[in-house]
Amino acid sequence: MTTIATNTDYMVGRVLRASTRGFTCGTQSNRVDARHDFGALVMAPIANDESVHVIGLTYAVEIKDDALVSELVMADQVDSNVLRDQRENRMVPLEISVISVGCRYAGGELLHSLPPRPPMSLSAVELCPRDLIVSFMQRQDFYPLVLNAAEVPGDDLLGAAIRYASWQIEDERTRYDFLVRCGRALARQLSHDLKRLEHVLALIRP
Amino acid sequence: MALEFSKVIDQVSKLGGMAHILLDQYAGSRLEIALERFRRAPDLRVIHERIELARSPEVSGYRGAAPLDPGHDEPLNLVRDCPPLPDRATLIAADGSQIYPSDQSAIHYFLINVGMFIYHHGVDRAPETVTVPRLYYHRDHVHDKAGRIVNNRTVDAMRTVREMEQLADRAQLLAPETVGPLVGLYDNHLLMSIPPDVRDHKKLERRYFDALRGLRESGVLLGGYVDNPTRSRMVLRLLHLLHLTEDEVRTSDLGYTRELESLNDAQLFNAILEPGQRSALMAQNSPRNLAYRKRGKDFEIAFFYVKASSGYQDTIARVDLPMWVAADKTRVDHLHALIVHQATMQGRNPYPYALTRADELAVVSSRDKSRLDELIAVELRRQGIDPRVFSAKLQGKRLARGDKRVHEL
Repeated sequence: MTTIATNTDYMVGRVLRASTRGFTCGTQSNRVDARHDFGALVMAPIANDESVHVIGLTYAVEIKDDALVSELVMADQVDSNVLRDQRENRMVPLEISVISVGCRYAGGELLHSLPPRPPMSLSAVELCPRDLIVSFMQRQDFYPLVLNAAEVPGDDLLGAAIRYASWQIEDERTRYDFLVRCGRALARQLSHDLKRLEHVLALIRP
Repeated sequence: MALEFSKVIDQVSKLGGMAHILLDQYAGSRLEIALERFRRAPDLRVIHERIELARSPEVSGYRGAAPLDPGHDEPLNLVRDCPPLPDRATLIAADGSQIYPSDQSAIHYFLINVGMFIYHHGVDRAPETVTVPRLYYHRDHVHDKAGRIVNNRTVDAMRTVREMEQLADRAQLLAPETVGPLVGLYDNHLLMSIPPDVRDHKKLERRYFDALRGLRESGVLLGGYVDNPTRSRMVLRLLHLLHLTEDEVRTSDLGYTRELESLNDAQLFNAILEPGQRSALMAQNSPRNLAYRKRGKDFEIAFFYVKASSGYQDTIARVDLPMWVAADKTRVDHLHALIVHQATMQGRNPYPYALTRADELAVVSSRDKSRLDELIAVELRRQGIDPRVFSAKLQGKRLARGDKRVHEL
């Protein structure tokens, strides 16, 4: 049997369904941690081409229920071992929804737009490494994709993504400059809607 | 074509009109009679004498409850509060599921899957889950001596035996490290009988008793949990037996309980027991239980009724237990307390959590069956064998019942 190696430190889940607009991946609820944060940048290889990776933003994390979980919720208190059983043994599925915002080609070139193809189901979804996050977020061309997406909380998502990227920059001055550049780009995108702009700027204020 | 509900609605309405009759509007008065007899139940000496009479050669057909042997017996109308929980205990719950063999498949096979859930009471430790699937495909397993595919009763009997064997094996592994009582919960009655048309029924029976022996040797407090035992009428039959004169015992049909007919023990004990309480320990007077006893006194099966409660809902359950447990009041107390506690653990549903999980682990869904069929088909193709077995009838059903596609203009 052949197994495909994945970097478990970066592993977010595996693709359940996908389109060029975005994809949903799944994992077990007991594995949820900082890799599944709202606004995190993740990537997955596109269909039939491991050299191109779609880059996306995590915009929703859903923990699925079932009849037994629903019943346990009704109890006054849940036995601690039952809680552990539900979380560690029952493998309640977790779904992570991602909106596509760009892709990375084999040579390292970045595209800040929709990818040519979606990832295939069961492809490994991994957290983007620090250098990729920083370099991808230097350009703001993808902001309209997020701000205009109907199915995602675009303003909060973009704010979270910018904050997430800023945490990858160690130098304080560089981080400040990055946030200011992002703020200016947002001002250009949302100049027609000052209330929204004020909200997003408040989210990324240093 | 789905069921045409427009043609059923009128019939449902008529059913509603008859509901009072169908639900037995006279059950209340019958229950009062049963309760009165229960309250006035005679002492154990009288009951033992009556049971002796019912067991005498001149009487036949008594299949009701009987007190345990003197020394272990309890007054018929005893009601025992839920005892305190032991500090530590380990529960193993076992359940099984199966895929029956089909003569329509390319390779005849059946599958038995046993699920076990291990709960550590009194210690902060994640429960453990175990599944043991076993695929049977050898002709010696799948076909009978005449070459016919084995019947479903054979698979059911094999499942029961495997459940008990797996429970015994797991108990043997856990026994040395267990602190406090080791409890085995089984989701059915313990008085298994294997019909003679089951292949190797004698052998299966031997394996079942070997598993029981293993459980006894591991010191397992074995409990067979029968939820909502609506067909169980053993105590009502005893109440009826006690109400008869000696001549009537000799001459009447003891299976017919006259004014108590159509009631069941669950209804009786639902009116008697408070949440957490159990009834007296008794044993079923039957040839089957006698056969168990003949294999050793420890193997006679006793029972008690218990009112399990989630705090929201109550239910009556019957707990079967072998005499190696029933003869020791501390063991019975532990089993009683842990079952009552388990039934409080899944929200409103008053059912042992460990059994719910064992069932979940064991169940083989129709989707699982389809996937297994696919796996087998792939394997057959790898061997150069065409796995398709053409059945026009099955194919027609599949086509007609398949997903519908909506065509829109």
